[in-house]
Amino acid sequence: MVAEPEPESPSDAESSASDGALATRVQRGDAAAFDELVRRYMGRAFAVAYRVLGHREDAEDLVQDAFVAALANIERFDVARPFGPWLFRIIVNRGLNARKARAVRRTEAVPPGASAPGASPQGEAERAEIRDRFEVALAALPERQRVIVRLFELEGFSSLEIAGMLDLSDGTVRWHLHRARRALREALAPLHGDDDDE
Amino acid sequence: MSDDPMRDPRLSAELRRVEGDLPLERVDWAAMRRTAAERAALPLARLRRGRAWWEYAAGWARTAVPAAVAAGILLAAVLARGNDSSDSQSVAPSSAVASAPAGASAARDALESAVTRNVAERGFVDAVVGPVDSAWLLEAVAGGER
Repeated sequence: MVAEPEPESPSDAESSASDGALATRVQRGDAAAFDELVRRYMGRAFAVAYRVLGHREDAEDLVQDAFVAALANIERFDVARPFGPWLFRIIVNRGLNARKARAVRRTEAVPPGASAPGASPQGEAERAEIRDRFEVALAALPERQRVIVRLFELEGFSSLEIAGMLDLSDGTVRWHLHRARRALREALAPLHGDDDDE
Repeated sequence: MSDDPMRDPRLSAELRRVEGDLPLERVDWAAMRRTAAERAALPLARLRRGRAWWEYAAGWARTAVPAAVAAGILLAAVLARGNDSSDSQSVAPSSAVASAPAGASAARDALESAVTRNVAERGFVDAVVGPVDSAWLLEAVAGGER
């Protein structure tokens, strides 16, 4: 799950206000309420944006754009509903469009060995092979499946939450998730000598 | 949520190894918040002010203009069909407006004639915008060359 960024001491009234109350105030142009929504959601929003785009700076830009886009459409927002899923849907839509337009930078490379200090050369080679297999398997997945499996496995979102972001049914998300996980496990199977047991 | 499959720790670990962790420590949260606030200042001011009458008018225009165009096309089609059936019944179109004021404009007569196809297209154009004056045309061409 995402570690929320350090809050900058919002007032008690703001920090305890519900999303709906804050959104109602934003609809009247209340800057403090908007700032509280930004503070409240920027961590999760960045996680979603990063898992869609795979690049920190692009993800930061996307989060800012999404907050501004949400504000531009705030009059149409149903204050009886939670703000987060609505914001995340904006992020995912825009992020996927940006990827389609190839307007984003290449996914940031993970430094080799960064997650396995002190590994043996043989272990390093195996990890490199795993990385290669994973990259190929991930790259072969349809864009939506890739995003779904990242959000589910890495960020802990439920299939229902992901369905809200992608405007899909819960069942469709689970079907995509099953397909993606099976493809990734198949890519790993020769290395681990096991099979798909989902 | 209860229907979700279990997270696969090994798959998650491999994914994380490939994709990396979120670079949360590299994000300048304060700057992000500040920038969002700056970019929101104008839209928020607009929300505080409320929408001006021309913004409502522009909003309605987006619906009203296409609707008016569609209604115009529909009306023209209905009129044309009505006049076709009038023709087939050999009813003189001018009789329909026999009671019209005597000072009806030439343009209106020309339009009626065009709709009822009692006049050639060229005649209709001449009636509406005036006949082509060859002297004027020559003058225009000569002027353009000057």
